[in-house]
Amino acid sequence: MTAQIELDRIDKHYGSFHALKNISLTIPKGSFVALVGPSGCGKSTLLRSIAGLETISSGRMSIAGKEMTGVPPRHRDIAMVFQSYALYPHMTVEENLTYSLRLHSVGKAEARQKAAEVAATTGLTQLLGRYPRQLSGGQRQRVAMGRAIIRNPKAFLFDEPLSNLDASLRVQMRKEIRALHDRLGATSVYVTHDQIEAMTMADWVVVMRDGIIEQQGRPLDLYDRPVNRFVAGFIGSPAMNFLAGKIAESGDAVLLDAGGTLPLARRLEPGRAVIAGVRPEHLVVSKDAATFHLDVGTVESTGSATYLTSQDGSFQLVQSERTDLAAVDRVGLRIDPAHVHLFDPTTGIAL
Amino acid sequence: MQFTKPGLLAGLAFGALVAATPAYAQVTLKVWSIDGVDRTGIADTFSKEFDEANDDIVVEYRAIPFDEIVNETLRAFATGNAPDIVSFDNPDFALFSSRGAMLDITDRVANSPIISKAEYFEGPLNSVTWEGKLYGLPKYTDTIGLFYNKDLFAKAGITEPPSTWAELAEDAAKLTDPANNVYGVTFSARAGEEGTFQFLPIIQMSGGGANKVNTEGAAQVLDIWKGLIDNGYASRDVLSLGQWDSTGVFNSGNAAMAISGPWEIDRMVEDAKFDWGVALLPTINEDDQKSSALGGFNWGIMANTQHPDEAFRLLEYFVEQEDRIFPEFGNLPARGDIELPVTGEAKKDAALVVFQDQLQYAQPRGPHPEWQKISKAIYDAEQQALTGQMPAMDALNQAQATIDTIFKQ
Amino acid sequence: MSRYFSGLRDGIGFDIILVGAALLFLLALAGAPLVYNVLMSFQQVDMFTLGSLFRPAVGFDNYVAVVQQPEFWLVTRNTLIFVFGSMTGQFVLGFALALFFAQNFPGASTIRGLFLVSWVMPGLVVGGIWSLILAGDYGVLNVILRSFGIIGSNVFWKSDPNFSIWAVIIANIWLGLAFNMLLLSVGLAAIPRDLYEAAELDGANAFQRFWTITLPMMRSTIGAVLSLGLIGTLQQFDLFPALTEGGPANTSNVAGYWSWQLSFQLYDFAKGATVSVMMFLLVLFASVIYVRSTRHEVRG
Repeated sequence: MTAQIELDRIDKHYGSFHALKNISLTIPKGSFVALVGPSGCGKSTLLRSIAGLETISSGRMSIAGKEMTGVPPRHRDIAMVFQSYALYPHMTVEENLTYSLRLHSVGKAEARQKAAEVAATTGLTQLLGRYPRQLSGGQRQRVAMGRAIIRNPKAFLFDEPLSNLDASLRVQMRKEIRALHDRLGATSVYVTHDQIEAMTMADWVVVMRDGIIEQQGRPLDLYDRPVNRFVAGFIGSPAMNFLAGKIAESGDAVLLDAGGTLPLARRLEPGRAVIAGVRPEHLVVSKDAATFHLDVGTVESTGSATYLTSQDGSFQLVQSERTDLAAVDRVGLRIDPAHVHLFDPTTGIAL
Repeated sequence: MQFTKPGLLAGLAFGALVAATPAYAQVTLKVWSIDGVDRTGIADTFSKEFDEANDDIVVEYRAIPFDEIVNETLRAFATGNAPDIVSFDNPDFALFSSRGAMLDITDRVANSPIISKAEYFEGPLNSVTWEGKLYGLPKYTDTIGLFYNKDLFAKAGITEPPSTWAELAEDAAKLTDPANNVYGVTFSARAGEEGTFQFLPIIQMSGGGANKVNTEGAAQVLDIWKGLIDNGYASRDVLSLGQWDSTGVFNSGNAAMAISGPWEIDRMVEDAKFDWGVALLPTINEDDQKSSALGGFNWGIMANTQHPDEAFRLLEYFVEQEDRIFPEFGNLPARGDIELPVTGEAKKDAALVVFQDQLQYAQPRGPHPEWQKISKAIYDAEQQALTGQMPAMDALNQAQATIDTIFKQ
Repeated sequence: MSRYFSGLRDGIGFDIILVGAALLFLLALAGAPLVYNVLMSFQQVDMFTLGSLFRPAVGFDNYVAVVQQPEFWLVTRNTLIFVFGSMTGQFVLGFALALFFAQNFPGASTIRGLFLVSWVMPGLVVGGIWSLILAGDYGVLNVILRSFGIIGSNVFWKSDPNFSIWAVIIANIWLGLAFNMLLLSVGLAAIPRDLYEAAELDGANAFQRFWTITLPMMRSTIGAVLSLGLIGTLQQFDLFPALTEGGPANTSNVAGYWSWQLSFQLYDFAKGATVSVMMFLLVLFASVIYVRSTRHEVRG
């Protein structure tokens, strides 16, 4: 796989604010990469830098093998779908779709033909004569996508494109975008703050915080092997539980500060202070083989799963069976040693 | 005359009241003038004095800006709220006197122990006269003459100021010095009353007047003036400069001659850093009839006053004080019997002697009720000729056509 | 009665009362003087009838007389030059400045605020200042133009019949610049930034972005600016007495100033009213064109 987008030690300063710190990233042709992280982490800045809408302070970037550092956006041949869709309000859907073609003096007939094709792909055929204000949120989203597709660009950039839609539409559009990506064989960079979107849509996820890349990899690799406590807590829903403790004399268990032990599948230096991470879905309620306990605060059931939250709210577990536990019950828990993550208490780096 | 009837009735009724309660009867007189708008002048000062000196009369004085006083009075007269005494610029006076809006004071003046008609200069007196009757009195007067820079004249080897326009053009040619930014002459040919004010005397010298402007002489002088501008002996901006700005050019030494009036003397004494003098306005040919512009304001009592007797008393008071108007306000009385006091400022005193002389030749603009329309026709023609849009005679003929329609009405 | 009150409660009657009140005010404040003016243009007016409403009717005599004035066609020509020249200058320069200050460089809003000075200053003061700037012998403009070698000898802006109307136009452009720039700036600020970004990514260069995004998005603002500019220019009065008094020989006289001259300098109120009615018809004509051109506009 050849690299479609290459970022090499990118820095971006806004005055004294250091928004991107030494970012290097290679995006292979045909891949769907998600940039994810909390707000202010620099993911949108990075996306806009790729588009050329922000000028980078230092570093180099290339798209499809061509040096793009300092090249204006209109010469980068990439398309972007904005959070606000940024449809041209004074143009009909068809005019919105063919805008870039008309700029590049494509013939009228050919432009119409292409618009019709794209409209068919995105389900806009009946709406070509309408103005953006006459469309629903999902329809506008489709026009924005269609406008990007029609140019057959080197890459698609998505800037939180689904955040203005309601939940059910969001799930549907998620699938449509991914399906479109696969059909076009396009290269896509997708910015979101929603790790579920990132996990479900992308084949490569980049987790960012404070202007740096914390970890990148395939979605399940990030889930299974987070390199630090931040990524561990950010990926996965509900979020991973963190418990303070230290390694037991035997070296193959964690003595929890709150009482109880967690078995380990490996041996570590006895007495060492650690933060243990356990995912809510990996915990099993057990009467006989329990190694630690949970004082149940609230019990919520969605029908398919039951969520138990501790009394102090710091701890959560999910189980797929229904339960008849009451709020005040204390339950015994056990966990497969392979599912226990350990982090250094000061650096947060996985052990 | 219908307007005097209710006035008369009211006057009678009021007279009865006055007779019944003599001790407390007070008459209120309204006086309007432009004095006091930006500085104290004749009308506001004397009105206040009269008000304080007379317990039976209250004088309500109102200062109105120059641009508004005619319109304000027209409106007030039409709605019956006119003042008792009003002061207009002399060419505006006929608009009111010709339509019976001013009180005929011919007999009152003849019988007055204070006012002597014979002492007034002819020009100012003409401007308050309509069809042989006297409708007001001159308040003060003005005229224009030729200021000249004696230093520059000496430098150019010219000993005497010009007495004809042709001589003026010759002198201007000699005096013009572009290297030092000196024009030969400056005057005001602005699109407005000031333009007419300076040009009408030329028409009058050539035997014309408000009703006859297309004279050979006037066309001749216009051609001379156009030559001054075209040759650079006078700035082309004389077409937009007012008299005040035009004279400023002279005061700063950038023009060797200026046509202007006595109101400039004090500023010139202050500003001009050279020796200067005043000559009579040049004529068209040697020994031609002299003429000059007549400026200044007039007084009049409005026809619908309810207190003509008291108003006339106030007018008499104004006239009585006229020996004060030059020392206190710098205005020239329109009468020959008031000696101007010697100021001790040699150039000023010499200039005043020339202007006193010039005043004998000053002729009013009009008088005609539609003077302003005549005036526009005149300054439009002047400007058309000076800018070369039309030959001088054609421009004057066109003005004459307009003026003929005004006189025919 | 009860139907009437229920109408009030339902809000329908109340609406009518509100609209009615506004209409009444409009008729009284705007309509009455207009009718009075039109009436006056068909009457013989002199100082004795100035205060009355019904005066001897003269039909179209005043209109005939106005058209027969020797300066009529000159004033008409000047009015058109003045309106088109001023509006074009104000609009183009105002738009350029608005675009310039929309770049958000440091101090942009402060400097933009300074432009308001021209708007705050009374027209007579502006006229006085421009009278000095445009003076033939010592004016700053001539000094600048000479130093750049654009002119060889002084241009007498106010006194040369070829330039006098342009002297007033230059001053009027300066006077109306801030107002145009401000309205257009507001219009520009209302265009979402991401539209430009989208267009940029779609391949539009700066000129194409201006032509395909800015201009169409500004359509209603531009319409408003131009209509107000037309009215403001026709109303312009203060600059004329300060600069040229319509001279030399009416070469810089326009309908508005002429109307004032006729009414308040020559005391020919009927002709003054006649000229102002003619101007009103011109504005009416222009606004009909404006309304027709924007009727089919779909607002976003």
